Amino acid sequence: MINLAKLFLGEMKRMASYKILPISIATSLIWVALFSLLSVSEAQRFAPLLLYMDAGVMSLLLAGAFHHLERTDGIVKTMMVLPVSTGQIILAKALAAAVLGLISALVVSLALFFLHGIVLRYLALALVVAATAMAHAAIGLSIALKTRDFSGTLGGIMLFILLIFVPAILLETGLIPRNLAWLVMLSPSAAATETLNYAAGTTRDLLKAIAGIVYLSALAGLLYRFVVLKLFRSHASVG
Amino acid sequence: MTNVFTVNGLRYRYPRAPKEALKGLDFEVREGEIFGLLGPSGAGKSTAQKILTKLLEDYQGSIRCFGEDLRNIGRAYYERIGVGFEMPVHFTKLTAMENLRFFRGFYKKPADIETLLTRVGLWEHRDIRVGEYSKGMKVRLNFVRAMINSPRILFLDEVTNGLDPANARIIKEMIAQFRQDGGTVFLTTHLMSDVEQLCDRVAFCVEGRLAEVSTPRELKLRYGTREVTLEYREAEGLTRRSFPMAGIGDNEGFLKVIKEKELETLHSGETSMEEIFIRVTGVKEV
Repeated sequence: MINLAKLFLGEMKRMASYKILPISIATSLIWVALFSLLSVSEAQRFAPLLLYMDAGVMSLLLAGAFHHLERTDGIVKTMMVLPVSTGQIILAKALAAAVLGLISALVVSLALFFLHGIVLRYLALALVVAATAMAHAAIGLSIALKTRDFSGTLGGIMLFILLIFVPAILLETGLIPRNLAWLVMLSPSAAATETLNYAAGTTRDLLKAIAGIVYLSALAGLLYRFVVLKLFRSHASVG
Repeated sequence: MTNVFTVNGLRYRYPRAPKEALKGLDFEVREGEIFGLLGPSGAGKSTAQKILTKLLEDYQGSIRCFGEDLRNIGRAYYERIGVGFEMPVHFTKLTAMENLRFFRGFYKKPADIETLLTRVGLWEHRDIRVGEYSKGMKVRLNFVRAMINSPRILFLDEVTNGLDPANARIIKEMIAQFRQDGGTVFLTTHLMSDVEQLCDRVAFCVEGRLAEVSTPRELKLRYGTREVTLEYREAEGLTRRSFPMAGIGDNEGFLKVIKEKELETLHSGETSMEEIFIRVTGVKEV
């Protein structure tokens, strides 16, 4: 547990040093600026999408980019010869991704409250943001560990965003009928935005929100346990 | 003498590789010695080191560390060993001090950072980001990283590669001191000067097999010519003559030369480690 805390704090410190944290906060501030230009109803409607951009898309991109920076530094091998388990190393990364998402969500929530007086369902928001960030960071890491260089990772991530984001957009815009929402929620993007809709108060579907959080958490757990962990180990031995 | 490692029939094949990287290695590393694993690129020495440092696990054969099956030793193994990688392995956006403090925090018996950094000449540069370090500074920092947990066993890969002679000497002195204090070193290198100055025993790895395991001295005697070569100046120029080592005290020609001529050089016919490397491995470039 102490080692996990040290690993987590190390991740956070490096996220600051490698400008991952400032970039994430800067993105949130762009959303804040955008909210200031919107009406209350518009802000409430756009909030889930922008929260998803932070917790989902940014986690995906930043986890991939961060891994490549560490790969360039040759860090993976030296981490693997620490007296800590690979699981702890991966868990620390997952927790750091969750905290990064939560910080962004906090900035956006405060902006919505102070600019428009919008009160969100904060518990649901915290849970879905943490689950979304961890799941998407796991996807970003998996892609980064599977690809040879940064451009390959970027290509993989872009393709993935396209694949998972399009169904969510089609659902949001009504091009996919709402009665297919459960099916579309297989896309992590749709699961996240549906749950964020509940957190933002634009829907009252608690069941979907719970399902979304459970699904994203399970997805994160499965990806870290069966994909990231394995790839991380093999990367350390070959790299 | 206790064996730190006893390796029998070690075989390894990388996933999807057409052939084995290691084809049955047998050797032991004794406590308190510097054991050098030498060989050309791709010979399997890095693979052997990765297995001994538990970075690769699906190997065949047996490895015992202080008598215990390596497979059964958990993460606590990394409290006992220090690993110096050839390539830089530090967070480049963090300073040397921030890097070392991070790594140091995980060990039960951490070494004193100031002592180590001072010894390798990096203490004054401790607050500089590693990304701004020269190659030589990064190599020295790698060595400090390997020593940060006060290990009993040190794995070093091309430890002086990229260092100037003065800094290479400091690192070699530190390795020798580590051995003198009871530590064991497993060294992989292609730099024969390191081998000559440091190793108690060496093994040559060629295409996944061990070709020779011996001491540098024995190898030099076995592969060298038992003769003495003298160079001296005469009226017609420099003369060079060799005499067999056997019965040299009774060799009249030799005695006459050393008595009557002014010698410029005198060499025994022992061969260099470079020469032995080339002959054992069949590789021309060292």
